[in-house]
Order: sequence, then structure tokens, then C-alpha cells
Amino acid sequence: MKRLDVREFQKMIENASKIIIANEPYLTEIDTVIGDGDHGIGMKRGFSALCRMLEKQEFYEVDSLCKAVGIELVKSMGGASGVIFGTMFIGGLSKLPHENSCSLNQIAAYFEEGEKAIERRGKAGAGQKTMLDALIPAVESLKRSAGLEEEMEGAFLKACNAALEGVKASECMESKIGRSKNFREAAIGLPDPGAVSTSLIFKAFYEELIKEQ
Amino acid sequence: MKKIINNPSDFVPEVMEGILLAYKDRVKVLDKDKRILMKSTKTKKGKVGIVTAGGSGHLPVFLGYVGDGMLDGCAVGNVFASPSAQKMTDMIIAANNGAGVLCLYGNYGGDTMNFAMAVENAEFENVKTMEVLVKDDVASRPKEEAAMRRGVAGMVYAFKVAGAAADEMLSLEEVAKVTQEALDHIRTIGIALSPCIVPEAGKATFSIKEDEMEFGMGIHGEPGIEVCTMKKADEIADSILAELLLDMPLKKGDEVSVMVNGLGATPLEEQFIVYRRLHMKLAEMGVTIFIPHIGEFATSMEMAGLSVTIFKLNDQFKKYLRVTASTPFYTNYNK
Repeated sequence: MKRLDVREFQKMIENASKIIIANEPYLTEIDTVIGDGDHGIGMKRGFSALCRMLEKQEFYEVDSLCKAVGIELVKSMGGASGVIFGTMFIGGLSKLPHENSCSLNQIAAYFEEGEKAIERRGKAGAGQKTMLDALIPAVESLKRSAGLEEEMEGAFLKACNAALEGVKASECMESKIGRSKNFREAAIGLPDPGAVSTSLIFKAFYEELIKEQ
Repeated sequence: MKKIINNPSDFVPEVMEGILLAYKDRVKVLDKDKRILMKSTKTKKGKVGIVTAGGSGHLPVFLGYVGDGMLDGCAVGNVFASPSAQKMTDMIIAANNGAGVLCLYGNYGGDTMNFAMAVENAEFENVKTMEVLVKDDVASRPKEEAAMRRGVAGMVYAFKVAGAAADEMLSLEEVAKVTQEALDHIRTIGIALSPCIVPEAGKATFSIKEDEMEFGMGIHGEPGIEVCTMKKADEIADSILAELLLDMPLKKGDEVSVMVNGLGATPLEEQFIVYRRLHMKLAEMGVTIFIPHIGEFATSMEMAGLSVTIFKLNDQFKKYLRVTASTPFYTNYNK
């Protein structure tokens, strides 16, 4: 597949919502040790609202879909996670076409802009034990795949794996930002909950994408 | 978990319902949204709006200070989580009386990010805004990183100053300036004896041994400077004062307001024992206390412990503390 259809993308995001909701206990468990235990609850709240919205509404352009997704997340989730995961979907809107499908190049540029917007908003960067440690490698991987003109499926598989490696790498990082920075020693050895969520989103994207084949 | 609640997920909405039923003559929600509390008493046209926002679980912070002489609005988040940028935007727009809105809130990641987004949205709707962040927690960062400190109980003084300055019909820039000046003279340190439980998480945020206390702990259970063995009230008061004075030295003749703030499960009696010692020590130094505040001002659910805030005063700040304020949770008639 060379282009991602808006209906397909909507299903991928719906699947990501379901996977996040299903993983709430795990996210809560790690955040209880290295944060204040509410990451899973917040994510579940936001992605449940998103799921309800996507079930009711159909989108015809990829940018409209992503805008609605981001706004719903910011609105329903609150907290730092609401802005961060909302910005992941809103930050790069200008890179998406107002059309019913988009190319891998556009997808890569979209998530890259979103990632940069999160860095600006959160005044954060790589290596600080945040969701960026999963998002940055996923974006880098998407850009590489786009450069090599790979198929959509392969590109999302690699992005998902890159995010998972990022999660793994976050385990030995010392937390420098966000509330988990207050749990410096306790946080070493555990992955960042936001990074785990990010990898779950990319994993869900990939799994939905190949299901359709 | 032992809490007097119904369904944990109904915690915040039910708290809001109770407050609205109790104080419907003075506060209201915006457009039936129980997450945005606005002052409902008369507001002078052209007065700068003062708003804040933050997570639930700290009453009277944050929404308890919405009312005459303090805040015009407060967006309410889930327990220990910032409300969304959307709610903040709606609140900012509603609090604008034509002179702009000061966003005055604690320095926490979620709140700063959501406010940044909300302020952009509000400016887009032609509402002039300024932001002042509260960073009074001395224990959260060393002095050279003071810009990254957390905001705790000292924000109550900032709400009072900002509210009084706005009531004097100062401009947005002037209100922001004087509020920042006040905050430059406000320092807080807290100690915790026991953890608190976020209802939906159902477990304690941290653990602490029976004979220990955490010196410098934040209002969400953020670790402080050190865990030490439990001490007597006078020793605790002395260590807190020493730490505060290290950050903001005081000299003979200075005037301060002192706030002893219970974190939720510490009796008022114990707070007065600590106040007594602080008062004696400051008196020995030749420092006088103006309008002491003793009680619960910024809590952390059922956490035991207290915080001490020192606000170094000048004539203008004294006037602003003295001028009447009356909200559902704060009055200075009794101070």
C-alpha cells in the first residue's frame, strides 16, 4: 500500500484507542511506581471519549480526521497527557492534505511536526524519559521509510519496532522532566509510561493496517 | 483505601455539586460545565480578570479562592491533573471584563502546557492575557534553579495580592507586575508525615515509615530534601524556618505574613504549636508578623503534615492583604 486512506487511518486510530483502554491496568501499574499513578486513568478517559467520537462520526479528509482526534484528546483527557497526546495529532496538521488519502511522505512529515510541537510545548527533548523517547525513533523510522519509498505496512512495522526500542531505552534513563522526575532512583529500570503509551499507539496502527489486507 | 466517597470516578463531579449547592449565591459554573467555576457576585467593569486552574485534591486550592477580592474563575481538573486547555480557554474568555486576564497558577508541567495552549486560543479571540507562575516551594529545587520550582501554598497570598490589585483597577501589566513582586518575596516549605491516596488510583502515592517524616515534600507527594526521623514540633519549626531564611534572609525590622498550612490530616492544634514557635523565633530576630494565616489553605487529600509560608511585606503588600476578601473558602475578617 502506497497511500493511506482516511477510512483506514480512522480504523487505525480506533484500534489504538481500544489498545490504550485495554492496557490501562499496566500503565497505571508503572505510573504508580514512577509517577502519581494516574497516567493510565487519564489515557483511558481520553481514548474512551475518542473511541465514542470515532464510532459516531465518519471523516472524509485525513486532516479533518486528525484535527478532530487531537481536539477530542486535549478536551477529554486534561493533565499533561491531554496536551501532549493531543499535540501529537494536532501539531503537524499543516503537513496533511485536505484529501481522502495521504502518502507515507506526508505521514512522516505529519508525525515529525507533531513531535516538534510536543518538544516546544513541553520544553523537552530526547533522553529525558518521556513519551518523546518512543515518538522520536518512530518518527525517524517513518522518515527513513518514506525516503526509501517503502510500503505503508513495512513502514508502520518499523516505526512500531523503533518505538518499542525507544521504550526499552527509556528504562535505564533517569527522569528529568514531568512528575516522574521526582522519583529519580525508583524510575530507573522501569519504562516511561508515556513512552509505553506511544509504542502501544504505533503497535495498534500497524496491527490494524495488516488486518485489513 | 478508606475514604468517604461514592464511586471513585464520581469524586470530582460530586465535590463540585456539593460546592455549588452550598455556595450558589456566590459562585456559578460556566455554561453548565462543572469543571469551570466563576464568581457570580458583581464585578466592576474594566477590572482585570484573575484566573487560575489546577487539579482537584487540594481544597481550598484552587477553586476555593474564587470570589470577591480574589479570583474571577478557576478551571478544575481531575485529582492532581490539570484541566484541559479548552476549559481554561472558556474560563479566560468568560473572566474578561474588557481589561484582560491574568492567569496565575502553580508551576507544574500539565498546567503550564494547557495554559500555554489556552492563552494562544484566548488571544485568538482577542482577549489580552498575561501569565504569572507560582514557584514558591523552596524544597523543590535549589536556589540557582528557582525558576523551576513548584508552586504550593504561597499561591494563596498571590491570589490575594492579585485580586486586591485588580480591585484597585490597575492595568493588566500592573497587576501582573505587583503579583510577581509579591511572589519574589514568598517562600514555602512543607513536611509530610503520611501519604495521600488518589481515589481512582486507590493506592497511596508513596510510603513513609511510622517514625519518619519527609522534609520538603510537595503537595502531590513529590519527594523533598530528605527523609528524617520524626521530630518534636519546635525542632520541625526551627528546621523549616532555617531553610526558608537561607533562601530569603530576614533582618530586624522586617515585617512578614506567616502561613501555617495543614495538608489535610494534621489538627489545627498542632499547626498552632508550630506557629507559636515560628512567632517566638521571628520575634527574637526582631521580625514582626502581620495577619498570620493558620489553617488549611492548600491541602493534599488525607496527607498529614504542614507547610510554612513566609511572605516578606512592604506597605503595598500589607494594604493588599488587609483589604477585604470574601470567598466561599477564604475571608480575612477573621485574621
